[in-house]
Amino acid sequence: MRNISVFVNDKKIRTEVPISQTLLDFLRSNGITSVKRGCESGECGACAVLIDDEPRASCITLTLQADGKEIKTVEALSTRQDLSELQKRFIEVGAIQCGYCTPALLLLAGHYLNTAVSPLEKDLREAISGVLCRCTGYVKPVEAIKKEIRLD
Amino acid sequence: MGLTKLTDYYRPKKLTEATRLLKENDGFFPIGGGTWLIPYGGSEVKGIVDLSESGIKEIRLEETSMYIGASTTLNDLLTAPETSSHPYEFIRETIISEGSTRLINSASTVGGRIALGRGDSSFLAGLIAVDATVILFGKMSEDVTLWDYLNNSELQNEKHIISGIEISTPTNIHSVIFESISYIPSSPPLISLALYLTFSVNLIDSVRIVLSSIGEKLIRLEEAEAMLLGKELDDKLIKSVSGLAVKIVDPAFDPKGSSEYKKAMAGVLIERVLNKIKDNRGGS
Ligand SMILES: Cc1cc2nc3c(=O)[nH]c(=O)nc-3n(C[C@H](O)[C@H](O)[C@H](O)COP(=O)(O)OP(=O)(O)OC[C@H]3O[C@@H](n4cnc5c(N)ncnc54)[C@H](O)[C@@H]3O)c2cc1C
Ligand code: FES
Ligand code: FES
Repeated sequence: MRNISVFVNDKKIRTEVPISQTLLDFLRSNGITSVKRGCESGECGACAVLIDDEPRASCITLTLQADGKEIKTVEALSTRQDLSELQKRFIEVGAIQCGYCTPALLLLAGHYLNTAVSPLEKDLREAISGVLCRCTGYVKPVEAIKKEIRLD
Repeated sequence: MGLTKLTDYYRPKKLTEATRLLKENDGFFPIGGGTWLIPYGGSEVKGIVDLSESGIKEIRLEETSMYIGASTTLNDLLTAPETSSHPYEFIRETIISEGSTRLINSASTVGGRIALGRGDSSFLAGLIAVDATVILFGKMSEDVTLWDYLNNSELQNEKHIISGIEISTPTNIHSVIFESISYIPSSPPLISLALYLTFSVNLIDSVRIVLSSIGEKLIRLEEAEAMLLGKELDDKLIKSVSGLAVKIVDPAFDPKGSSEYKKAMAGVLIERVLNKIKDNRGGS
């Protein structure tokens, strides 16, 4: 076991973790269930998080690699009462079917929109390309994201 | 995750400390981003030495060369101003062609990519084409070309840390030409070619031809290189070199593209690139 200290969605967590624990297991065992377990080998992106503002697959990241860093998940996008504008667009457009990929898509799309100087559809598609969606064919999620930034 | 026997983890601030940990402990492995070692490392991994804060994350442009530290991620390279224009844009082009996503590229390091030395890495093919040198920490006298490093199993089995790579600035106007064939632009190539060629007046005075996605290892066509050296680039020579490539390339089984197809495409890519160079020079 090792002591770690991380910020998860701006909340400091100091705790002891097993050395071989993945960040995916750490987050889920701390109630952050938007981070989904999919392939567990870096292929599907359902477990995406931001570590120090960089997109990472939490299933192939050790919790210890994130020690001392800031982790953001989709929970940071909204409060219990109020969804973010991007989340509202996903609902309006009907961009969610089974929903398994949705937290990761929202997180990566939000990250792209926050960092891109002049967003383009091509770059936006590239930014979310690490997340596999088996239901939507990406048409509706891309439409929702474009609607949010009026990129029609 | 396969790291069932992992009981130690360190994130040293210095490479000397990282080397000591690796030397003194059986079953300790270095990691860059961990994108391969964490899912596939297996039960032989007892300890991890995380190099992310060991001071080897940098891209440095010098007068006649570029240095890339081993902990530099592929995403750092994609967004660096140094790779946005001639003569280093081939680095960006080869990384993009591999089709890895942002999620993987923001963790994957140059050191990890080199240590794995996969045969489908267009990025490594481009670096081999420019004779990039691998810098091994604590072994200053033993810097080796990437090609020699990847073909030296003794060196690869020994415990060492890759601290970075150095690329001499390609001088030729054409520098590295990269071509690949894939189902759709964003999918990994079925086959790709990185070719570097320079002339002294009209004669070819240096050449590297590297193919990826042919087998487990990258392929350098040394026979075809020898055929080009010291010659003028004309249609007849181009046909002979592409014909030779078709003859010597021996692709491994790949459900995405048959061996016959890949052999033929090796010839097509070489012919296409050499013709491009010839046309740019206004040759016959
Ligand atoms: C979804 C997915 C797609 C991928 N696609 C590709 C692809 O297209 N092409 C490709 O080549 N690979 C691919 N990979 C494999 C791997 O992610 C990359 O090769 C990556 O660049 C490895 O870098 P890393 O820093 O994550 O390596 P790590 O996992 O940290 O390490 C890999 C190996 O290198 C050793 N190592 C790491 N750093 C050093 C160093 N500085 N000195 C000495 N040894 C070192 C480790 O001990 C380990 O044996 C993919 C992986 C995933 C999960
Ligand atoms: S669960 Fe992490 S990438 Fe699939
Ligand atoms: S909505 Fe089902 S996987 Fe994307």
